[in-house]
Amino acid sequence: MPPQDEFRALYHQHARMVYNLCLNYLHGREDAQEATQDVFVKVHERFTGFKGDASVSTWIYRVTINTCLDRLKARKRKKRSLLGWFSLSDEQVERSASLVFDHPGVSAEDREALERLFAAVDELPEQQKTALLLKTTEDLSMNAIAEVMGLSTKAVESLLSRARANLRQRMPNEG
Amino acid sequence: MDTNGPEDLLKRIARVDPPPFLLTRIEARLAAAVQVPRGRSVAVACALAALLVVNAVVLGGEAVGSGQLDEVVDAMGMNASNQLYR
Repeated sequence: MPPQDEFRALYHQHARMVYNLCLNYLHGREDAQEATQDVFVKVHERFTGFKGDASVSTWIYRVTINTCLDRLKARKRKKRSLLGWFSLSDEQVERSASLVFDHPGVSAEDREALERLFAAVDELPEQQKTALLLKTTEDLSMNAIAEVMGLSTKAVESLLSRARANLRQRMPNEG
Repeated sequence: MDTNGPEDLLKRIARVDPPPFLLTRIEARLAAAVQVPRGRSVAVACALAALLVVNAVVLGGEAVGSGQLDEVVDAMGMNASNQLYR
């Protein structure tokens, strides 16, 4: 386990990145705060096992992405069980989920459009979603995205292309 | 249609700072995680010790009982065998 000073330095260096990426995956302050805590607890636990085959930043990106994807899967499972228990329609469940959109980085004028966009992004396959978020919200280069995702740059380009096509299909009226 | 519309929208999301209490919460979780295993290991050790004591009592009882049982059966005039005819 890293010494406390080292861990705090690691936290201060990466917390902003982790928190913002969690917000973009989970769209809510509370979820993002809990996920950020989960990420740094895992970083603390696994630090000694970290082999250094990637940079620390790349490794923390991976931990963050996997933590967020796990939370999204748990959320979907909970939604499905709600559907079963209360006989809610898909539309009712989706509407209730959108009520918790609470992203502090979204301006009031963009909120409605981004809520719709994130609903479409959430429907993308995990790898397409991850590539898209890393490109747009994290502004990572193709090489950096490839390193984080453990893929070639060509594979990343293909994922981005498919993500864009899927979004156009789901949001044909959005400019 | 501007095909980069959705991406431009995503790029407009502002980056925000995490709340200042997050580090405190993380360190509290790490401290709690260190404490729990000790309590758990004490409980497991006690359970194992109790299991050993019970085993010792049962095994000790069996070792003493087997010879004495025959004496009791004879003294009561009972048949220790299930054979009807001797």
